[in-house]
Amino acid sequence: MSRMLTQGRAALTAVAVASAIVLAYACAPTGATRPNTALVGGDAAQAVYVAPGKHDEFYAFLSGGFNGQVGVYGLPSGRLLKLIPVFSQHAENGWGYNEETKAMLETSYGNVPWDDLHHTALSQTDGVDDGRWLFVNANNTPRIGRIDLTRMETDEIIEIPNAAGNHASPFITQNSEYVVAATRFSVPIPNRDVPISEYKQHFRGSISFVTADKPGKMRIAFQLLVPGFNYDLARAGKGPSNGWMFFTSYNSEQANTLLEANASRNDKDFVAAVNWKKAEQCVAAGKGVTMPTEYLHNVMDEFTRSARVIKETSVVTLETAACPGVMYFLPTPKSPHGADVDPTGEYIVAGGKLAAVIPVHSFSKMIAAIDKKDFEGEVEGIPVLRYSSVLAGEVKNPGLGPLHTEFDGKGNAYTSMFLSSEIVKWKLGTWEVVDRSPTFYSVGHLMIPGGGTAKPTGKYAIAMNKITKDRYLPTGPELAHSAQLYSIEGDKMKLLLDFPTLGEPHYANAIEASVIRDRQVRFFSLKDNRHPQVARTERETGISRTGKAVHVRMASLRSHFSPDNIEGAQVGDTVYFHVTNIEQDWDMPHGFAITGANTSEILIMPGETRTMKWVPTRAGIYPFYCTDFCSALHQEMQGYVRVSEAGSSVALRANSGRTGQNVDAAVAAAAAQLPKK
Amino acid sequence: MPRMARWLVGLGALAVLGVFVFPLWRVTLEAPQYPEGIGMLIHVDGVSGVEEHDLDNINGLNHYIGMQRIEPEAIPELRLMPWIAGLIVISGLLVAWRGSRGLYVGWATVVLATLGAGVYDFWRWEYDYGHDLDPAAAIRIPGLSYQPPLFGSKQILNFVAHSYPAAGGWLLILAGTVFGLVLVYLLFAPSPQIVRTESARRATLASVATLLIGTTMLASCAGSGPRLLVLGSDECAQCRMMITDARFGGEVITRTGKVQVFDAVECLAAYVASADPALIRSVWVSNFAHPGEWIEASTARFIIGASIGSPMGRSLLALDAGVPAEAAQRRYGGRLIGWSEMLRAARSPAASGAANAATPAGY
Repeated sequence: MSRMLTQGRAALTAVAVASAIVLAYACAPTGATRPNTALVGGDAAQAVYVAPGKHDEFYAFLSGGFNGQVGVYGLPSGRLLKLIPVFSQHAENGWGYNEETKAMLETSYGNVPWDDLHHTALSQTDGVDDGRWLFVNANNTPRIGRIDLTRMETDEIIEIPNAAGNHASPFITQNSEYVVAATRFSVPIPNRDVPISEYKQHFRGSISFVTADKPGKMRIAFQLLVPGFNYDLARAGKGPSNGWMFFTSYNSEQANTLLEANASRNDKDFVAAVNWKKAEQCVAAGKGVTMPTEYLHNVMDEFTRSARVIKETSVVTLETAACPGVMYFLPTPKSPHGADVDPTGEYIVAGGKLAAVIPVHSFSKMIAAIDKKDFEGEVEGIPVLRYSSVLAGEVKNPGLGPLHTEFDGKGNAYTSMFLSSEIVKWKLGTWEVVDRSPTFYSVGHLMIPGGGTAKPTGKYAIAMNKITKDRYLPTGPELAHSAQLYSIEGDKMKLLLDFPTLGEPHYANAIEASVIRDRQVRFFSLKDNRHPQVARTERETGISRTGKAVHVRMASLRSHFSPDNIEGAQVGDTVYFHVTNIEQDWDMPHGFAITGANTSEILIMPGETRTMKWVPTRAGIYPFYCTDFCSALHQEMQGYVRVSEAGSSVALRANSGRTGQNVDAAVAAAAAQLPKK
Repeated sequence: MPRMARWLVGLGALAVLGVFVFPLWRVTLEAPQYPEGIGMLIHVDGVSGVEEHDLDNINGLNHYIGMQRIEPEAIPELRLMPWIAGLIVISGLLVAWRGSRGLYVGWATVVLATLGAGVYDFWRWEYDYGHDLDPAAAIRIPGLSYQPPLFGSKQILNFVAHSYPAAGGWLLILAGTVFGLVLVYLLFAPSPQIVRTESARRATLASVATLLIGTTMLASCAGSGPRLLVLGSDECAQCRMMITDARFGGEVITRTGKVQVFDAVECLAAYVASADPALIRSVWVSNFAHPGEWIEASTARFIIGASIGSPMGRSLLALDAGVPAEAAQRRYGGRLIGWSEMLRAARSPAASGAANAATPAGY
């Protein structure tokens, strides 16, 4: 076993770290006790000012954490551009409420209306963000989602079986072959009823490799079954280290209770290096075991714009023992969070959140150590490499609580320090700290556009802070989280801007606006709309009844619904309003809402069809209206549904337009027949 | 024909081929809500949006003001124009090849007249779309026409309409200019080599006559008719009140071509009744059902005592004679009268007294 550290040293380190935490909190700012506008230069305003009508340089996609969504912000302005709903219902546009998108939130546990979205990963080509898709993970009910970046909509969600707490996810390989999903919570695999105290005996981790480069066809290629630790974060190798994926793990103690103490005993945990190309070979060679299980794969159809649920019933698992060389452990102090690979692919930086140093592993040394079998032990048959043999260097006295590191492509690394609430800049190779800048307060992840790729942009860094306190006008006990933008172009980091963020961003990606701006879809093509209830023109609208279900096929356009007078619905019916927005113009959505609906509104983009299910419970007249101010006559965009008692003889009918011959029209018609002057 | 002229004419004819490749005209609309612009292109054989759905969107916007849908299928000229253009190309090449001066003069005259007629026809369609509005439209601004300019820019409600030739149009203009210059050169340049034959003289005479007639026709179409009322600026020639509602307006065109404008039929009738008939060329009233459209007063039908108040208080409005009397009366109430009865009423002191009595205070 590798974890052969003297208990005395471990205890001392624990005491030191604990004191540091106490001190950090004792000295936590209370507003005026600390100059909290530090480092803002006179030209900061100019650096972030994006003049009215001008565009930002970068799209930034910040995970929404416990809001289950992704926020799209512009950098450097920090302006919120859009909220993309993924794993949580979004009443604002009907995501997860309307009949077309409800199924996107289906899981093997039923419809799950919320999740905790932690990390983002842009698709990559040759180790560089290519702006096709954004992958995101659901931490609570393990899933991975794919957002299409031409529409900024979620197109696909795949559930991860044999997993709990999908935290080390969805980190991506350099050509988008795979996104990964590794368990934060180990559980019995397959899950079953066992005493929790028998953790070490039954609980295991799993690392899933999910194919990412075929939209609509995400698939769990294989699932590596690994020791029952907590797997935290990951990063794919690139360049020379392409083919490997590095995961941090903690709780190598395998504690199942009071982890804050019991999982912090060992003064080294591990970075797990997984050779996924080797795993592919083993699976191809039939070393995998097909395990029956159940999980769902939800795909948005491009043409009906409706979700389809595909039920999967098995997954290929791979035991590490069946595939020697697939995984190695790199001892790493202590309870590491980030495992970040530098742009060259040589260095793997681990953010040991309770460590006094930032350890940096060398990929080439790792390979050499593997070749020499320079192991100091093994865990469940997985070789543990010798720390000193794989270590490239340690950043000494970096600060407290190193979490996560990104790179600027100019030989510098930037590590977020949760406890000492700062960003620390240090040099790769010499491991010397060259600058530090406070964050307000307690930075979690940081992000440099492209900072995890082979080609960082090196212009800005943003800190995603966990604590906001006094940074904005106070808003009661619940505050928005706060992000901070720094310029990292010069030798010294410069704080430029604070901006509030939605939910709790755990990670983010940003990409030059030019890469995706011009690919943005402006509206959906009506002629490609293959929704079964589409009304491409007003003439295709109508109403029909099948038993107790009434289907209204409706068109909306400036500034009316067609039909807008509906009669013949009865108490006890379920009425489906299939509304097609027949506009073909940019930024011309229409909404639809009706009194008493037990669901959200539907918001319909031009060219698409959305369906609201409505169950009237009382006879009467119910108005419906357009909820998105569309035009000068938006307030006139309304209609009525007449609901009669069950069994009523009122005929089913739907109409719109003039009810009688209008004299104005008669006059005009007569005039039109005259010869022109 | 000089060699150079023949080449020019041949090349000019070939340039006309460009209309089969490039659009003739581009009409674009700008509004605060359309920073990217929205527009349509007029081709030799059709109308299309600058972007795929622009034409539909323009039609969608136009429905608010009651403009007819722009449907290329409903414009017969678009079926004719490719043949005309093709004919110009082929005949132009033949004429250049033959090099006969007389033939050219005749040909060029016809071609230029055709081009002129084409421009006029385009203007006529614009006028039609801009004026022939559905009275049931949501937005009705009395007296405002939505006619886009033929050439230039114009503010129409929240839109600025720009109308300029597109590549095909410029090629056509270029060809027309070349044909015209060659024509002028052949007709007027002193040229000893050219023997003025009898046939050439006849051709010259015929072409000059055609041009004159054409010009006169165009001029008579374009000028000397009633003009649009400028709301909020025009002042009634009779009562001196500012004109704010074009539905009730009238105009008198004097012998000298001067246009007198009136805010109401009452004022118009009073003016005409007291004026020397010899000084009046024509009298026009605004079509109440189609504001901006003018009807010759003598052919109009008037409703007096309508349910709708007119500016001078007699509830007088003018309608096209083709409107069925019953429909009009059902809609507007009152009594139907003709222009001569109107003038008689205006001449009678009782009527004018009544009109004055109903005039708002301060008049």
